[in-house]
Amino acid sequence: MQELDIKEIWQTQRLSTPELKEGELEAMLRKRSQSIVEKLKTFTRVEHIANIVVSILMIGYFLYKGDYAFSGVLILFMTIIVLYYKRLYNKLHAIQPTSDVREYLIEVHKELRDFVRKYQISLSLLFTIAFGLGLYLGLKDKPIRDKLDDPLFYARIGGVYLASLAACFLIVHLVYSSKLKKIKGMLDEMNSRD
Amino acid sequence: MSSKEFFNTFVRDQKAIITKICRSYSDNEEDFQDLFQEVALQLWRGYESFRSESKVSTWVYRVALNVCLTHFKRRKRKPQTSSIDNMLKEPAQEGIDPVHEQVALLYDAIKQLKDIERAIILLYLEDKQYNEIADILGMTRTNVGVRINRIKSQLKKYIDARVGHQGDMADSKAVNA
Repeated sequence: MQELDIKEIWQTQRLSTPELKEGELEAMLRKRSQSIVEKLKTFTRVEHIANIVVSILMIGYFLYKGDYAFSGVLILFMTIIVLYYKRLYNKLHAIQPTSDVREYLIEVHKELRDFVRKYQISLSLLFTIAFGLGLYLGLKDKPIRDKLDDPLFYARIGGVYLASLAACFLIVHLVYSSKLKKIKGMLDEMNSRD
Repeated sequence: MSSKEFFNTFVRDQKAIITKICRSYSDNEEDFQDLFQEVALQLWRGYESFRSESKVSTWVYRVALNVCLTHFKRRKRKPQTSSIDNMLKEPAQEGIDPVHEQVALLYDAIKQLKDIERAIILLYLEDKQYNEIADILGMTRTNVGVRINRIKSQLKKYIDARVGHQGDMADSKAVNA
């Protein structure tokens, strides 16, 4: 097959495809986007709303309890998180598939990588806080206090902590690593000059 | 004419481009349907903000390629039949027609390429100039030129091997008969 032939075959291919049925395009436009950016936006939106709801409930609870100092710290902490999510959402919203392919891939890769990092950091923090709090509250119980001299007790706690954290990291890795790898592979392919 | 009606006409005009790109990046009807829908959706979302800073075709190619390259296949689900399915089926079903056989073989060859190589050769086959290909992909013109030559020889090798294999099969059938 000669060079010209490839183009000729391509351009003579008959795309006498059937017309879209009445209302079919409208139905397509009503469907939810399956793009990775759209999914990240949805997760961010859900987490953002959850953060706001939890913040209001927690702050309300501590104000009701009269713990104003803790409420103040909580308001500051939650404001930072809410602003961070707002910024994250705006950044995702700015990614449009109308930019050139390289630019789009770079943006999607960067946001996806940041998203994974955000999960890893927040999971580590949440697990540490949850385990610390669990241990602190558990120590009030005599049966647990009695185990403090047993080195196996610490090994078990450490084991459960690490295993739970590793399981969550693994889930994040399974969901996102292949996507990150695929996009990185395409960018490397574009950058290679062989 | 409402903006949706105008868009309908626009998609019908661009259907050939969208179909060829989606077909090159899909392994089955489901993938094709998903890709076609996603491209149409993204075009619609960007339609009103399109400022004619680039050519319409450049814009359509960018959106279609960006969607196809970052599409992550979903798990199998029950296929739905629609006219979009037929867009994919039609050329393959007419396999007896030598032109369609060649087209199907060309698609097979394109699908053996890496993702970015596919994008480059698709634009080349669509008769785009090196400058425009570079502009759509965000690569240098020189890089595009070098790659096109390499990809063409890869395609040729694949097609020659397939045609040779088919010839051998036909010969052995004839001998057995």
